[in-house]
Amino acid sequence: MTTTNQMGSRETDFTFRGHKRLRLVVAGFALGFAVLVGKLGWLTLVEGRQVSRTAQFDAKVRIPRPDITDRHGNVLATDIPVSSLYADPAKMIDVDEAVELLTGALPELNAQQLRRKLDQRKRRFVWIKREVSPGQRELIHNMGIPGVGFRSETRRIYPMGKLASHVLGSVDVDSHGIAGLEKFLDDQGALYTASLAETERAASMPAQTSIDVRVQHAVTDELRKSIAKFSAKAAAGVVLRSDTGEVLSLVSLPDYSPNNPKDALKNENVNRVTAGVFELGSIIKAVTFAMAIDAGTATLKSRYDARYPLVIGRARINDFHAKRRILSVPEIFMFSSNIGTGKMALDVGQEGHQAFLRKMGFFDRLTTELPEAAKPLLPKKWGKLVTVTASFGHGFAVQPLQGATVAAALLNGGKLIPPTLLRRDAETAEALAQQVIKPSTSADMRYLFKLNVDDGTAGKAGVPGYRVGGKTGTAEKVVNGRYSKNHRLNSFVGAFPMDDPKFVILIMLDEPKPLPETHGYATSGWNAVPTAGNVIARIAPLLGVMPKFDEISSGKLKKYKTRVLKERRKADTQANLAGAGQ
Amino acid sequence: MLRLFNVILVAGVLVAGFALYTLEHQTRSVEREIVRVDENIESEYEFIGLLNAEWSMLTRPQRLEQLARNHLDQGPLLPDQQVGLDGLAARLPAAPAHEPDRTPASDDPMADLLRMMQ
Repeated sequence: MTTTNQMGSRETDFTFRGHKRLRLVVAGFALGFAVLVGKLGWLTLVEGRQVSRTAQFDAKVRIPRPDITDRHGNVLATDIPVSSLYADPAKMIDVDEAVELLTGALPELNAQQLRRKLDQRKRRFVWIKREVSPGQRELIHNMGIPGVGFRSETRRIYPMGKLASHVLGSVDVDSHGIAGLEKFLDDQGALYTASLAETERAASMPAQTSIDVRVQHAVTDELRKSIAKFSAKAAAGVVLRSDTGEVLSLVSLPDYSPNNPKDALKNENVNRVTAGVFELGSIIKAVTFAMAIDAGTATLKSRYDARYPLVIGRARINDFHAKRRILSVPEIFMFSSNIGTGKMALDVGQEGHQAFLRKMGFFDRLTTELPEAAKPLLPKKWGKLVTVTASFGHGFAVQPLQGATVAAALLNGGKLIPPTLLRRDAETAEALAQQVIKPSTSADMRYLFKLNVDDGTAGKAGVPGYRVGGKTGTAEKVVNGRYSKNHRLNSFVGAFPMDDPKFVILIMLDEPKPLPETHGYATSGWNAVPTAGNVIARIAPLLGVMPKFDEISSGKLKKYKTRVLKERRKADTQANLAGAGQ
Repeated sequence: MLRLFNVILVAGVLVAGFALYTLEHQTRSVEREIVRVDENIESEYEFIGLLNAEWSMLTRPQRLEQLARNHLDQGPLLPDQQVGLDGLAARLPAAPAHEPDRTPASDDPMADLLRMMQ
């Protein structure tokens, strides 16, 4: 009874009266739980969101290779997911069986090599085949061979094939850039690449180039036709926006497919526009003219005596189209007189000439995003004779892109803007621009360029309505240490529309041969210039240049249309014949 | 009193435990759902990338040129085939003669047209 009583009294004793120690414990626990509850509430209600978000993040350390697009967003290079087959020889149970099954699924594998690979029992990882197709992957997966597995990788593909291959470059099997813009994205351009990347794939930006695929194709196609027609060894072409320095098209033939990266490093596939230096010949005369007019030693009305060869020491400078009379400055330009140009350079003087060439950037290596950039080849000693020969482009060789850049500066109002292969806006270009000649000199240069197409050696580049201007160049190549009369490097640099030259074009043909229809001539006016004309006729409408006709160009239009339509019919007939033959 | 209190506490523990378990279960399934959706999104992006690459391959200028040559009767634009807005007026065909006095043949212009075609 007493016990029940006692128990009853204990049960009813709810106030812990007299149980000091117990009270202390209860209070301690209550405090502890209160702290826990408080902390829990704080974490779930106040900081809750942040905690849950950090938990979702995946550790993506590697910056994904961005897509490369043209200026209008057409994809030029992208990554596609592929699976690669590997083996862990240490885990392999029956090598013979594995070899048999694998060669059955992948007939292209060499059984002996595979056996040798899988017999290396100490190794934990060997590649069996990179880039297995989804069907083969499924097949091998279902075989359930122990010690064999797949890794998902990405493969770089270039959907447009050979188009713009020299701009894009290529990557090796581990997706490291080995040439062109791909190399730039990994090396110098790593910051730019990182700026494009986002943790969420959808937000990642592509690397947008300045190239326009339509222009690029038109230039490639016309150059390819010209190589075939004139049996030339190689060809190159550049189309540049003169106001921003953006390269709309950069073509070098022969080219390669970036999908086949081994070809990128072959010697004949070198990027002639930036990785090679060439004597641009008479194109450089335009620079001399700009220098003389800018320095004030000559005006468009000046006259120079071109009756006799220019004699300096033991050297005699002669003209190709010798006129043997006194020539005005526009005539010197149109007839491409070496004597006249040499005299104009001598009037400016050696120091002035060198300083001007340096200002135009001819003494420095031109750097763009492309890692393939050649240094200019310059004369070692600069004397009076060198001044004269350099005035018409002999004895110093530069990247063709450099020639186009300087031509843009001569025509766009005198602003030298470094060229780029990435998209650039007008403000950035303005900030980079350097005023190298006076706007009035540039206006004179435009007049000379236009005149040379309307009435001079570059007539065949003219497309009626598009107001083309240009300068030809026929450089003799150095063969065995001497200038050869039969190996030429022909070029044309021009711009359109000449009232506000937005687009500069440079065309280069390496060793074109004379044809019956060119009357046995192989100078630039007969091959590089008409090629440029064909290119301009194709790209001007694409670039939004509206044709304008005056009396002279309307007169030329009819003749031009007859010729073009005749050529088209001829090409169609040939295509039909080829089609019927197949 | 104390017994009642204990019963309430035990019940509370059971309810809290059950609630916690359900919540965790829900969280797990939501997590699985998130992973699944993420994977789907990722594979959709891969698919979009593939389609973009294919689109780019199919629209490469060289192929389009070939297709145009084989299937169209048109050639590249000649300089005089481009006309600006200001030059448009000169190229308009002559306006049809306006004859307000002529009475229509019938109330049904479609019928007229059909009759004319016959």
